[in-house]
Amino acid sequence: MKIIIAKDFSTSPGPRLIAEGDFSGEEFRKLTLLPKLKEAISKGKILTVDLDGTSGYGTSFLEESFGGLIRTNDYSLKDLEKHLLIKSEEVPDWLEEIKEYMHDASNEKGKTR
Amino acid sequence: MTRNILFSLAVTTKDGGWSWLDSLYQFTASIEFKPEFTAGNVIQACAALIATGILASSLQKKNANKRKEKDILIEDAQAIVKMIDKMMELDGEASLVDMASLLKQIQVSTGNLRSNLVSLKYSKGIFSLLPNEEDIRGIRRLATETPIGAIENHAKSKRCSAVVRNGIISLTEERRANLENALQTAKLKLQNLRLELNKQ
Repeated sequence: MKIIIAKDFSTSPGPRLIAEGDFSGEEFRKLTLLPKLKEAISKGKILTVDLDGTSGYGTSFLEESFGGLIRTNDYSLKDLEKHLLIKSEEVPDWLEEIKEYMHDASNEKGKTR
Repeated sequence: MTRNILFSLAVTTKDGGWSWLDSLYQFTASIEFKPEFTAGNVIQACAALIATGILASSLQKKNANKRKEKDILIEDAQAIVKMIDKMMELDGEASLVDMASLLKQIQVSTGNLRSNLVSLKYSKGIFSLLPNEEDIRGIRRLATETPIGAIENHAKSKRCSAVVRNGIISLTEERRANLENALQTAKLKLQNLRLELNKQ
């Protein structure tokens, strides 16, 4: 299973929240990422998300999309590490950034519980 | 021979005259040149000449290639400086998409420059002059990070350093200054890299 953001969502991803403008991270998470992730988990498959081909991402878009899965949608870091594979050949540093966001969200969740 | 030279020196110092020239003439007259060439000598001389020519031209070519490589790397660094200048022109209020696009260009170009420096086996000292992942991540945060949670609440708060409306991000003066500092540091690093590349 695969999501190519440039093809399946937008070539110019925008801000963090829907209220802040078009093609936000929140919109991507709710409408594109979440349904596919649910399907992948229920089928025991891996969902690959390809970040390449867009004009670029702001930090908040990436944080809201992937950190938001843990913070808002209550997924565990373990589940995401098992079922979500994020790819970028253009900017491999994005992968490190996303990993950091997911860890931070997981740590924050641990503190609040 | 040595005796002749010593004698002539002695004569020169004693009389202050030119009689030592005579002794020198006698000395040089005793050296004989035998202009005998064999075919072997000629072949050897030609081979040495050709080898020298080949060596000189290959060294020249190597130097020219090295110079070309350096020029390309210096141009690449300059291209990143131009991207940073463009970011500085955005002046605290810009479309998030434009900002993210410039940041991606900076990241891709810096990554390419880094791998070119690796493949051309440049020293570690050179790498330290290239903005690293942490530098660029810091710039990304300052340029595009907005707070988690409801934007209305944060926009009202004095601590909110960035607000996005209709895809346009506005930074507070303090954050704008921090971003400008980070961009300036990256620019300085790249300019030092250009100078260092030119020197090597």
